[in-house]
Amino acid sequence: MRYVGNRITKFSDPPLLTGRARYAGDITPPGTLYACFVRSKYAHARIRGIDTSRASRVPGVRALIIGDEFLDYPIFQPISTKPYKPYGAKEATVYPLVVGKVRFVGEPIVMVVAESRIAAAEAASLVDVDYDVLPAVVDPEEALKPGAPKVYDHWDGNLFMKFPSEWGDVDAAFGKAEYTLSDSVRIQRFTGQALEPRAYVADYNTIENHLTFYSSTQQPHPLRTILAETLKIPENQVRVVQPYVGGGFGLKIPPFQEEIAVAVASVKLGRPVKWVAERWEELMAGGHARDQRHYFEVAFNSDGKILGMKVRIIADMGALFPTPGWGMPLVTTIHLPTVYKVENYRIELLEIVTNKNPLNAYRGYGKECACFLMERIMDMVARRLGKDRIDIRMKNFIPPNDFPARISRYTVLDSGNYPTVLKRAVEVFEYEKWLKLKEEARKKGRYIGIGVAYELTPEGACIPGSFFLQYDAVTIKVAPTGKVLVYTGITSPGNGQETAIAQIVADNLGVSIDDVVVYQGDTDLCPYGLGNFSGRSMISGGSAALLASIELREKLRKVAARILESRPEDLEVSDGKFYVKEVPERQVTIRDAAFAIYKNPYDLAIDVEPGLEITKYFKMPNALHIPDESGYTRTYTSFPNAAHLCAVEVDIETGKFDILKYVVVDDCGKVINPMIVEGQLHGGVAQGIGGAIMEELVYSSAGQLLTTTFMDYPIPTAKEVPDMIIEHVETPSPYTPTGAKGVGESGIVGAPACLASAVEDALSDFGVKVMETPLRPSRVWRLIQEARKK
Amino acid sequence: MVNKVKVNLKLNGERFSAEIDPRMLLCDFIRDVAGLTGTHIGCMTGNCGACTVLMNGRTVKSCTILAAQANGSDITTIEGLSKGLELNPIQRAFHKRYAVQCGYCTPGMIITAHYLLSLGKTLSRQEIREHISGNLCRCTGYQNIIDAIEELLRDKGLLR
Ligand code: FES
Ligand code: FES
Repeated sequence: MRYVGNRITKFSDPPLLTGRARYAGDITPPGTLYACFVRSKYAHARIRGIDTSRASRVPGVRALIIGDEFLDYPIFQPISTKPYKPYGAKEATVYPLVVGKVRFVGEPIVMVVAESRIAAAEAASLVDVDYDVLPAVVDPEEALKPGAPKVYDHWDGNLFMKFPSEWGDVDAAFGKAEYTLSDSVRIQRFTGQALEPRAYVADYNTIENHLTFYSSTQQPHPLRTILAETLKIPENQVRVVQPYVGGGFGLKIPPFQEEIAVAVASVKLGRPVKWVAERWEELMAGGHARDQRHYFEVAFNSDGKILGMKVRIIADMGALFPTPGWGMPLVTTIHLPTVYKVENYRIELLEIVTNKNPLNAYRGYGKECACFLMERIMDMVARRLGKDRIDIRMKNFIPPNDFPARISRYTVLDSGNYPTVLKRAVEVFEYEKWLKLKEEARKKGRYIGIGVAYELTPEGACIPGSFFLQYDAVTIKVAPTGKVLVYTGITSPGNGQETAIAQIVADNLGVSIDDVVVYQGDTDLCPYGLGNFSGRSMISGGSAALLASIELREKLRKVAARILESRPEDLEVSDGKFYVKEVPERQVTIRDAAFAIYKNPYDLAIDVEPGLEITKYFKMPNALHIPDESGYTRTYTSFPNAAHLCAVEVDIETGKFDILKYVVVDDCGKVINPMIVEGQLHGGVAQGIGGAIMEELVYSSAGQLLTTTFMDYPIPTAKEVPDMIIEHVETPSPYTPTGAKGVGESGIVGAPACLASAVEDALSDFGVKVMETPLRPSRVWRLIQEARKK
Repeated sequence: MVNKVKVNLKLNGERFSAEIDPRMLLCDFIRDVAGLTGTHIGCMTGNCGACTVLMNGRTVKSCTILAAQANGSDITTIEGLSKGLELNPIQRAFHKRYAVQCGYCTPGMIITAHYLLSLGKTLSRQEIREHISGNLCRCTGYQNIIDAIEELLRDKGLLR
């Protein structure tokens, strides 16, 4: 039986379904102490003094640690700003606790460690911090003005960097275009909020100078390196274990201040130290995302062809973390103009620091902003010219025979067939039928709208000089009894990659999937790999699994041939057996061939190396970090894409809308497990809907975060997320041996653009323009009122 | 020092008692005192439903009540719904349909599904949506969860 391409149920389910799975927060080694953080009440303040005397009297308190005690532990940065020096990129050292001044509400100032959680929390509430409150800067455009408060005193202002992306001759294009339009789109600040809050348990063994660190992380190996470098413990004395993780979505990419603080505290105190974030801490200090404004001009002709565009992107970074949040607007920038062939453009990105929680990676990672911008432009152009929105997209798509297609100095799209995908989506959605339904409804005073969006989801990020690259490793060990153990450098924060890896191994090794066990997330067991981000598990991990399986299979084949007294090339393998092609009843099991390798090294296995264990690394071949003769590079390596179509009905009295139908036709290359791929799309679209209609992190003008619970930061429930119809078109990646392109971020990228398109269409009678999210009823209602006044 | 209170209850069919801080929430009691970590904590504000358990046959969010309030009651957690890693029909339906991704919401979701099925009421797909809307899932987009519950209801002839 072949496993790849089939709906294999997830290996990791039974412990999850029965409540037996252990997450980091479920781990409590004997003698554990509990940490609690005192967090800044102010967005911007110098710390004059800290009085811990009242807190220290709470029974059970073992330590009260302030920032100055952590001065020896500047956090090792897994992604360097150095390559961006030419664009002015600045640096900031981040310590586990605030040193000198706080830069956002919720920044940890004091760490309390106590015998119980209650004691730690009680003591934390009794710490007195003396603040010298400074004016806060919360708006990025205000932050650029002369005299604005400076977030980092040693910088010359609040501009972190200015990054250009230019192509063709944009001025000439604007000069000859028949039409131009200008406007702006704005994506609010929101965040991932995995249901499991972050949890860390550090267990330092003083006698052996050995640290075991349990973390709800997405990158165990890089975290090991970060801990070793920051704590100055030899890396071979650090073990990171990632147990079950309750969702990551990029926001569990290390390192966080608390993560390092917990480890240092365990080393200092010689006892296990545990910290589990509360929801408000996740919302306040767990990393934010998006918060981008895009001012644009677009030039086009009456046939709908877009000739050029100018874009200025203002990205609000908040303060800086060592995590890769500042890469998010860069990803927007280098992937414009997404799937469309716009040969002349000038884009300028300004990344600005403010007194807000730093950005971290969140599923989509800037690609949804690029999509939102391009799709709004497509709809605007269609409307201006009175053309159909599908036709406008078809007109501007990069044609299938253009691939590989360079779209910017930093990006070459690998492959794709956008017209086919969109055509299929139009069929599945029943576009023509909905156009009629919409017209009929309009006559009855009902406002139905159709949304169209095409997402490009660049995956396989490959950032020079960082831990965000496209290589990964798989170790396979075949035991004498033929049982297979697989160890991966990639991790699975809940999506089932272990199952997809097992499918690839079973197929290529020729064994039953029931004989395969996959181990992940333990740095003492697994080969060094970069974990989970950027849809890379199948891109890099799946490829490594395939290579390793084939190599072991060929070794087994040699021995099997000798046992069968046949030639290796005459053998086939499947279901755990080698058999002679011509005479299939002549067969030998993989188990017997494996046994022979272990037990008969001087006869049956005389011409193979003993042992059946191998580690294979795979590296994506299409990244380019040494610029070519034109000075161009390649950063992302895989380009899944998808068409979204939806129908909504807006209640014009309240501004509320319902999603009546939602279709995604997706091309993530070869599908390894359709059930997992669909599930990823369901989840991605749901998160996209959350960002499009309800989620927003709101700061007051003084920099106070006003949204600190699931009550004021609601995420979609089963009532908000519609049923989706998902289909696939497969354009295999030319660069991965499996043909897979990655699917971890698909869906979230196109959903906001699709809903905006639908709402705008529903309200076309009023001439409403939708250029901003979230589309809460209040905003939609206001848009209607404003349009009615005109 | 706070005076301790004694809590006696039935936990997954067995008697369980402990002396505890009266401020302790039921979710902490289940996790830290009884050591049953299948009941998860996602918000502590009653919004996410990861901490859902059955109390006298009805669902409660165990972060919203004190352990002392559960004195004398009959509590069922996810660990009480099946033996070891053996899957019951609800769990099998979830497994078959990839209704579990990270699994953090899953125990609460399964407890809610169990309650829903125990009602013996005929429900529509929309009603299923409404019934599970107190349990947040950040991974699945709910579709496969609803499909699984729908199938279980259909098998019982309870799907509208
Ligand atoms: S932890 Fe109880 S509802 Fe979220
Ligand atoms: S499966 Fe992750 S929260 Fe539901």
